[in-house]
Amino acid sequence: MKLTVEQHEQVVFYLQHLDIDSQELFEEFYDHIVCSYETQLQKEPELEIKTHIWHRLQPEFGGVGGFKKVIKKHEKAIGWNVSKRVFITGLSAFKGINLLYSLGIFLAAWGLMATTQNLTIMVSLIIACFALPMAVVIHKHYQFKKSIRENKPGYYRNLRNSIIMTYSTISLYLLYNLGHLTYRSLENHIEFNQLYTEVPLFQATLIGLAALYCYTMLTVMKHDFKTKLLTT
Amino acid sequence: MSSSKLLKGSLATIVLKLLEENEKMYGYEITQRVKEITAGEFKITEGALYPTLHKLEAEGMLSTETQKVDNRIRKYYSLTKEGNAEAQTKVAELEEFLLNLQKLLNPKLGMG
Repeated sequence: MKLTVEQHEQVVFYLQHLDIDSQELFEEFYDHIVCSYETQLQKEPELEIKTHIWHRLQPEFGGVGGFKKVIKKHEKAIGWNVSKRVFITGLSAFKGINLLYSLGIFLAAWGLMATTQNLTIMVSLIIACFALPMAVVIHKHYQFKKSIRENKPGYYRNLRNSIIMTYSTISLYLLYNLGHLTYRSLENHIEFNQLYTEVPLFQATLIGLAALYCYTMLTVMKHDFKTKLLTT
Repeated sequence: MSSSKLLKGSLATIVLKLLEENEKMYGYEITQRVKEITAGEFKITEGALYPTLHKLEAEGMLSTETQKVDNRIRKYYSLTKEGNAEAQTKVAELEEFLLNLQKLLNPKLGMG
């Protein structure tokens, strides 16, 4: 026996009161309650959804706080997995062939910065430092979203934003320090100093790139965690 | 002691074994299958099942996929390669444990 629209709304209403952060868990509970209620309706057609939830489902979940306990344990499992994933991702830059790439880019940029007196090259390097990685991230993000759209319609996860924000903050903090380091190494260069402090277009470009970087990183991390975290 | 308390330590093994036999299952289906196989003698509570599923998933033993069923999203669990190996190990461990338990509870069987 299928549920009426009103009964579906009652299930959603009940779940909303549980304050579930994870969309994935919300959907899992929703499916469980509906399946369980539909099965029970075959035996007791007069059974009300509220009675079923309070007197049958809640005890099976471990009482009034049972749902909450499952939610907490789910968040804990996710928190641990997010940290593990961030750590592994961070380490991957220093692993195998990636170490050579990272080192190569760093040495090439450092060498050019240290030896060149050409302002165009210096400014281009600074912009490239922001723009190139960002272009790769945007491209990968687009491909990833496209593949999710095509291969897994309806696939959606939502995780605690605080965890994502923590790791995004670390990323932005590193970016800030990188920018500061670059500025300090070039501040004695009169032309650069003039460009950096007096040309609004250059300042606006840097601010714009930084803002775009923040937005991209946050979006990528959110989607990446949402969709890949527990399946990899 | 109720069967649910005895079941607690073996829940992960039961889940892994069921998923080994069935390609993919969802939460409610697992509870019903256990009830069906044991003729209602064993009853897995949802309060224990879901944390176990999420933990196994986080550990990489299970993978998930979602499907739209009757206009709602259903989350299916299936074994990963590691989960498959873990299922065999856990089942073997549990069988050995049960054998030893049987020897303790019924020493005559152990002698034979």
